Order: sequence, then C-alpha cells, then structure tokens
Amino acid sequence: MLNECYPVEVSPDFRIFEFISLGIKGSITKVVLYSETDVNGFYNLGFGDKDPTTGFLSDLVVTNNGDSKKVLTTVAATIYLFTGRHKGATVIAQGSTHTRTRLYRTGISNNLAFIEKEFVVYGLFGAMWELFRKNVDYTAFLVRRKL
Amino acid sequence: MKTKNATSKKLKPPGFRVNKTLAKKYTDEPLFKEKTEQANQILKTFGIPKM
Repeated sequence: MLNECYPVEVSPDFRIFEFISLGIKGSITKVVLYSETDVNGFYNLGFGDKDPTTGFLSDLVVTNNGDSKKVLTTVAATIYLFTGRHKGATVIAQGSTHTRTRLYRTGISNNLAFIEKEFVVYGLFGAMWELFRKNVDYTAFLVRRKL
Repeated sequence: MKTKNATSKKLKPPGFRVNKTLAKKYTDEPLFKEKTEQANQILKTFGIPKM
C-alpha cells in the first residue's frame, strides 16, 4: 500500500510534509502538517492544497486531479513517518467537510487490516470515541502507533 | 553497530527526502491554526478514549 505514494519532502522534525500531486489538472502542491494540540502528545493532522497564485493553503478546494487514492496513500505514509519519529504520539484527523471525512473513513476501511497491524484507530461517533468499525459515520479519527 | 546515517536512513522509505527549508515554512499558516483549534475543541468536548 505505501509503495503507491508520491515522493515527499519532510522537515527535519518530521512534522511538515510537502508533495506534488500530478494529474489531469496539472501539478498541485499539497502540505501535511502535524501540530500539537492542547493535549500533551496529541497532534492534529492538517492537510491542504497550496494555491499556485496566492501561495495560501486551503482544505476546501476540490482539485479533482484524478489521483485521490494516491494522495490519501501519501498522507497515510506521512502518519507512518511522523509516528515513527514521535514515539507515543496520537494523531487526530477530521475532514474539512463531511464528504472529506467520509473519504478518510473509506480509506481507513479499505485498508483496515493493514493499518491495524501497526496502529490503533478510534472514531468519534456522536459524543463517544470507539474502536474503528466499518460503515460507521464517524466525525473524527484518532490514530496511535502500537508499541 | 549501525552508524547514525544508516539508522536515520531506515526511517525514510524511498521517495522521502528531508528538506531543512520546510522547518518553519507553514507553521504560521492560518489554515493549520484553525484546524488545530477545531481539534482542541473536539478533545475538550469529547475527551480522549482510554488507550
């Protein structure tokens, strides 16, 4: 699974990742940033597209570059690298829209057996965190590397 | 005994390259600050699971 991802550049502390999506709409720079939350050891996974004109990042733009699976795989690979460097870190992720959150859920579901070899995954359903199950409409996810 | 270079190379699969210019590049980006605040709200409101 991790073999099908884009080449990525990473900051020395393994918290910022940048890669270029290549598809039908051309090349689009994408950025993943892990920022620590107010809870010690919990990091938010931020993901956005860089506007080629303004240079600003957005997580609402729909680029439709025809490579969503490869992009998601690349983002997943950054989780491997980040948690490999930051032992014991827990990553929280949520889509900017319900559609995107569902996309993340689908990505996790489709690779759950592979993911669960090395990670514990929780989903937020209603007001409760629970171990990830397929076909549940979660609003956010927590991921921690198994020790 | 493995050297430091050999060990650090193991952390990076093919296609990943460390770029020092990325160190501070996006840390002040408004998007990520906003998303982190949303994450903080979730953690504050719903807590964390027993892990």
